[in-house]
Amino acid sequence: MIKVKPEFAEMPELVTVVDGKRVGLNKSFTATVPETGNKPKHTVEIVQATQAQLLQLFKEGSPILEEVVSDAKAEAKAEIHPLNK
Amino acid sequence: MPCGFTPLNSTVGCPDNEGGAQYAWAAKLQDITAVTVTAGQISNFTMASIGLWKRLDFDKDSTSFFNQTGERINETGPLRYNAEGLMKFGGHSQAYKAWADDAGDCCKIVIIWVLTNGNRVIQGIEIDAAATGGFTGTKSRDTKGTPSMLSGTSDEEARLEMSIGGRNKQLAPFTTLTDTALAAL
Repeated sequence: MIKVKPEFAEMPELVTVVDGKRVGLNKSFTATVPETGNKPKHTVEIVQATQAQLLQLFKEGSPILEEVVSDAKAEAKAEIHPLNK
Repeated sequence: MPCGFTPLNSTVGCPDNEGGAQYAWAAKLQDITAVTVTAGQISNFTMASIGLWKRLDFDKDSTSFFNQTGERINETGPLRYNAEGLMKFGGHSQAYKAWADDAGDCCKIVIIWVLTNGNRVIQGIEIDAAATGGFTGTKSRDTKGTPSMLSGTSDEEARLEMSIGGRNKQLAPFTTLTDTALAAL
């Protein structure tokens, strides 16, 4: 499983692009885009990245992501660890 | 970086060597959370929120540039680069004053220069895999902007000039990010 590293996990509007699409890394959120010369002020919905998108970003080398072993897998590993026998 | 040479030949492939810059993208260093590096170039940014990259379309009249001049501070001293860019906006107005006042207040900025030959080089950032987020600001001197608003004489052009200066330990990184991706960020 790919997750945002703990030191970046408290940033609610963390955003990047994957395959040209903007995604939120910690959660989905609504953002207000200020008025520019071309467009009036408006809001946009940022959707949280899927696990597949996180995996792609991880493989591309994003330094804010890490691979973690799920709790069930971690428990299974701990059970067979020699020190636990 | 390890010491070494590889072959380099400017006469192969007739490279585009026209100077200058077409336009730029600007952001505050503090708004960049991380960079992704692919084959030595920045291939993606992670930002603190959306819409933090602003496109700057300055005059295309052969005045804009982004130069990095290398120097050593003594005979055996380390190499560093004085990086300086200039963008010029013709005119003289309250809107320019407001923009310059805000931009001039930023202590650490990042500029993506879209050069005339199409390459994109980033002033104000250095790749550093050991640093949080994989980058730092310019290591030797912060990159910041210094605006000048000039009415000139009636024979001259009234203009706003933004000079962006800093000092890097290594030459500024290039990026493969497109305008579409930067606008999406």
